[in-house]
Amino acid sequence: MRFSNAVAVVTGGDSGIGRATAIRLAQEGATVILVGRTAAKLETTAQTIERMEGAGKAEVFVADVTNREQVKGLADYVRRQHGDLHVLVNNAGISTHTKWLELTEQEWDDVQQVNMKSVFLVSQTLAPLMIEGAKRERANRAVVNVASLSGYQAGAHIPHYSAAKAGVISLTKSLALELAPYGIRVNSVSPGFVETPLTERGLQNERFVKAVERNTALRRVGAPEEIANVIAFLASAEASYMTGSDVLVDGGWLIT
Amino acid sequence: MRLNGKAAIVTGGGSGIGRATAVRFAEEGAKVAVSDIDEAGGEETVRRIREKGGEAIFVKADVSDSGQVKQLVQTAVEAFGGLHILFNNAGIGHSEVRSTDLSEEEWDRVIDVNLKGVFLGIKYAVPALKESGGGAIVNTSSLLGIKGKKYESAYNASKAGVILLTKNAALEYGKFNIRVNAIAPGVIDTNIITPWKQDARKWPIISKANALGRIGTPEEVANAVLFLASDEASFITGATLSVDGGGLTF
Repeated sequence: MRFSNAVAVVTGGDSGIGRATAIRLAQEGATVILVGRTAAKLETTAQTIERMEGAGKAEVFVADVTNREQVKGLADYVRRQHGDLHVLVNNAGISTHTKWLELTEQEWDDVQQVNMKSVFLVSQTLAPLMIEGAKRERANRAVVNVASLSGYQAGAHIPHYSAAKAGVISLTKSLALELAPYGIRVNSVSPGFVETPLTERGLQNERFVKAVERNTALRRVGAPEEIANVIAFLASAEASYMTGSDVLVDGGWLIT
Repeated sequence: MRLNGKAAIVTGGGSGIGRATAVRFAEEGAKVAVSDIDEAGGEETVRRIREKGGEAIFVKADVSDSGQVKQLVQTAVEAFGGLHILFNNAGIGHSEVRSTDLSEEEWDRVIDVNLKGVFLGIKYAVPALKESGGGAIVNTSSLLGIKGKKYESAYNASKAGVILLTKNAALEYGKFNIRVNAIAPGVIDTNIITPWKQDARKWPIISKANALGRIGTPEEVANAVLFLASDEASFITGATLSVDGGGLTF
């Protein structure tokens, strides 16, 4: 139980990697605050956690992570309810598939906001809570940002998403430097092709799936749980000498 | 118990990161073949594992010698009935001099141990891993396999080589369910940094040249190796995990 007595916030905790991560952290004892825009979907994850034997607790907080006021509301809530924060997983993400010449400014802005600006807003707003905690007691505290394979490599018609995720990888390093004096570690994971709502449409295309399998060393796409395991490791005290690192979890796609 | 029922080989297991990892593997239920050229160090690691109720044997081997590596794999397979994990960790440093002053002999020795040793480990362990239905290989690279440092020519080159050799093996053996990854430790408190520690002027700088502002312990690296060797890393292959306290952030 690596997260007994730990309070964790997971953004985008309603589906895919966020949901799997919330479940994984709770399995190991964490109290998880699920953050997202749709209450109903967050509740489903919370109920799954509540039904697990010997697991931690789950709470739901509805907020748009691109909205400063709402993120501030989240910080106030965590402070009031728990008075401390140990783990922050910045997972919220969206994308569209659009050709460069057809990409609208609105699409560009939306994707930057949810994938990158949310990391800025949530980390900046919640960090003081982690810092105050660190001054009171020595405990493992960590931020894990969900970047992407797309942060390294251009994909088909996702220039806005790739740019945002490259930004997350870079921002992770800057945050690692700034938060290190408080004993807070900051790392990122870069998932490759994983079955999530974000990739659902692409992965329905048999030719695309075959191409992914052919070009992945492990010959398959990944499961959200396989990313959640990595996030849990980075968030845990087992990664005590890791900060500013990005962990590529792509089954060996990027090698070639 | 994350490695219950698994059989592992740890080269360079007589001290430092290798010893800490062998102990950590055994704590998680693995049977460990501890290998080193240093007999006393290797036996001490085995003693520590057995003291905690774990299972381990010592196999003396020079990783740069093909016959000895072959023998090491064979001995481990015979003792444990199979092989699931190989930690190619044995490594050495060299004289802190410019490449113009580094002897050819020293260059060869560093490349032989740090790089060829990994090649030989892969070469002889893969058939055994296949036989066991798959497994995991972890290779020890270094922050200095990514970043350059003065007076580290052979070390820089050998450790950079390990990163690409890791990717190559990940590609070649992925279809056999063998994952191959590397770790890139920063400055860790092991024998290899003893010469650096003696430099009163530079040590205060070197030892703080990362975000966390401290050197790491072998146990902290062992946790990362354990993670990569375990099923928790089931979708990670061909990757290099930096365990450097933020040594790459600036």
